[in-house]
Amino acid sequence: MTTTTRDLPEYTDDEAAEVLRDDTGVPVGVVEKPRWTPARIAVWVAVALLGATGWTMLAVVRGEEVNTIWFVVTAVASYAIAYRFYALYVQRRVMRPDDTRATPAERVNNGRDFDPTDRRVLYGHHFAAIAGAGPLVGPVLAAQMGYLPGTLWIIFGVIVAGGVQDMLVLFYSMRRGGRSLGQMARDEIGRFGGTVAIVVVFVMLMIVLAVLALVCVNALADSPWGVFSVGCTIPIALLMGLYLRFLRPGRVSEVSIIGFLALLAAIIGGRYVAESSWGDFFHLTPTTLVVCMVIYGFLAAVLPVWLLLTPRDYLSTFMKVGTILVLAVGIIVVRPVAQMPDFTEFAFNTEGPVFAGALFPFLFITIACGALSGMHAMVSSGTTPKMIQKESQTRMIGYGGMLMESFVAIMALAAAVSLNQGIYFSMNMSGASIEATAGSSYSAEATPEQNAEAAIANLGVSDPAGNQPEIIWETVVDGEEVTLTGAPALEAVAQDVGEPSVVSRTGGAPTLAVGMANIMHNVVGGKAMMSFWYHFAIMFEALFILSAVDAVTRVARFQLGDAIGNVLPKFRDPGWRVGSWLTTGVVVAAWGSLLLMGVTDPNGGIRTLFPLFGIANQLIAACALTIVTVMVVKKGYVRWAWIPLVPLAIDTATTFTASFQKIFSSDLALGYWALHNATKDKIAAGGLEGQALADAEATVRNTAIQGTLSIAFVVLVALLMVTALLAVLRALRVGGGKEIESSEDPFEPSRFYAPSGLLVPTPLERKVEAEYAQVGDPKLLAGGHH
Amino acid sequence: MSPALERSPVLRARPAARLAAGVRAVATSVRWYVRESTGEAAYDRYVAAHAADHPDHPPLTRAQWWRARDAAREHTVTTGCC
Repeated sequence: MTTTTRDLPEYTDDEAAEVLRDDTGVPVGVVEKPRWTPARIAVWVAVALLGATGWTMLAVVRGEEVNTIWFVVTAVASYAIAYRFYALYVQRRVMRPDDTRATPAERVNNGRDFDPTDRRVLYGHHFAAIAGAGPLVGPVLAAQMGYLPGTLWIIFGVIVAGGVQDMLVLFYSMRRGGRSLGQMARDEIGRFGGTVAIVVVFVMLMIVLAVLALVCVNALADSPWGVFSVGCTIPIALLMGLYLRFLRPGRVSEVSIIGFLALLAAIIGGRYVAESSWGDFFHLTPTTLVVCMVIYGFLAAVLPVWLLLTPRDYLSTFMKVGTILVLAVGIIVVRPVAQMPDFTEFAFNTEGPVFAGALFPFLFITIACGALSGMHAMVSSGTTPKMIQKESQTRMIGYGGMLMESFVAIMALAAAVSLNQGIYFSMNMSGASIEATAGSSYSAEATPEQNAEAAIANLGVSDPAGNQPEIIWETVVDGEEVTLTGAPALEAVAQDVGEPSVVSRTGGAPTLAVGMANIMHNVVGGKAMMSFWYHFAIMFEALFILSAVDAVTRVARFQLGDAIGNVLPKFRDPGWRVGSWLTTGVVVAAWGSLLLMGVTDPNGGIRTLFPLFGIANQLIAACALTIVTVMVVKKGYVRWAWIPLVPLAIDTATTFTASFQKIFSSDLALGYWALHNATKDKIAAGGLEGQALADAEATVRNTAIQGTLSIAFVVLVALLMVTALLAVLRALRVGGGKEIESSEDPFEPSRFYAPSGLLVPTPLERKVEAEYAQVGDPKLLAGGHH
Repeated sequence: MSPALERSPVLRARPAARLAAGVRAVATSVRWYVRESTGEAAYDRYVAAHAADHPDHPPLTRAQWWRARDAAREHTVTTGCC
């Protein structure tokens, strides 16, 4: 050792006191006290001023012309302050990471799931796992209320709710060997509570999947170009899988680049296919797409992962990173002006055509994933906690990962509100909505564009100047720039993005794609490239959703197999083909039938089902925050139990109010049962026939299913909360507010060091890293014993 | 800047050399990040660890190692995004 110790770094006394060492003197952590140098103070004052300016521009000045660049500035400054101050506060109060303690990754280190991973790499993995279509479509739909409510909730929501949930679930799961949410509920709350949590999560996964698939179907229906290019991802992924398996094993970057180029070729080629005689073959109705989706979901879940799932994840990650960069650059370069006012009338009434319901609680329900997402609790108690090197890295991965997700949501909102209001609403009103709003101006003979124009003229909403919004679109005709209004403008939009029509393309994905194309064509390619950017955006949204479809189907199938396994043990064996086919079939049938219901809903599937999706997602978050609260109390941090309780209170207020309105409201736009009974009466009164009767019968059936699901969700979550409350009371009685025994793993000393600084290590961390490189266990350094 | 300093070959070469060094450093970090994220670096680490632990027999080939990894992944899929 004498030869290596020669170069050991030297520490000042202050520094030496801040280095944590194990019993053999090997450094395993650093606890630095914050030092407020003048430069640091200046930087934080500048960040705070920038944030304050941003908020002033967005929330106070609120001029007629608000630039969306302020969305980005305000968000980034607020995130920085929240990460540095609030997340650190939460960490010190209810996490208290201890770097002398080995994480599950270090303890088990099996080179498979328990794999200590560099914090920056793990950040990427974690973000790729949590980011999906949710934060993209939620804010787009919420834009019907104006730009301000969405911005406020996306930014404040992530700070007090989403980031806190993700980070705490991650930390507490890491302290428990990376156990899942359901297992933690069983351990901490009891058998009954645990079973309820597992059932809740399973049922909600089905509705989440159905709605995501519905977004995808709505984006691809009657779009030969979209169907062709998205369809191509399947053979591309299969070829990538075969290439990696047989031709060049392990060359992931290489095959990802090849796949990505093939994807671009598919997007570009889609135009020619759509225009050729083959176009009709890819012109699919929504119902046909549902069938395709169900078959695809089944196959993807039963095929080996290396063939389809893993390679498609590579593609999806590539697109994810690419698109987020493209969108950020686009907004910064183009700096579009918001066309939506701060608040629209739909924030305060229930007449919104995109979804029904006033700001409280439906803003929170609709935005969902961008501010707080229950689904993240599954990732934070799944793969990620098994890969963390040091406990003090949890803030960067859990909280930091969620901040990035929120940033994606802010950009999606910016893209949506920079779109002309008339176009936004024409795209997001279902056929039924347009017919109802257009009223006497509606004509069955007119084109959808003409009817949409009539509906916009009657829509109860105003533009930033306080006038009735107008459909306006700038385009190029015969080399000359022209500004079109009304129905011709809508036709020009469709022409520019290469779609047969853009009217009633609900679901948020097409709107975001038009918004993105509208921004990006100013950066690269002009009008000629607009259709490329549109289909690029559709492609990445579809990829996200397809990834979710097969991953969730697979996970749900394992859960179902486990559950049936309690009665018929053979179902627990994941290698038993008949069992896995049966369980997959049940899972696919469950979300497939909900999807079919959404696609054929006469009132517009997104309008009726999206609130259910939001409620389900936010109720999973309520479960996660409830379980976290129990663990915080058991740990003896009763004084700071408000940290998870504040977001839990907000979430409970919004989800329970929303469920209450969905179940009991007499407003036909809002209450499932009110509409159910009113439609039943209408049928009983007679006079309906043909399509109208079929529609009414479908409405009766769908509202019954949706209403029953609403009741089931809220009752199950309330049950879980009651059992959790009992567990908390028991813990307080036994421990009197002190730490009591929990399912936390016993302490095992860490022998490993890695920095936890955000991107670059601090100077002291660098020194310790250099020392550890010499004195540390070479086996741990090599990263894994096999 | 004094003429003496301007004549110094080190300083004259500085902007270009610094740029080149900077580009190299960025390229190295990007390559490291990509190899770590895709798991390509994990096989190399396995080979190094294997050589230290079991010098008596050869490690798995790249293809065998990735197959084992795929097999393990078969049951560790998580739900991911919303």
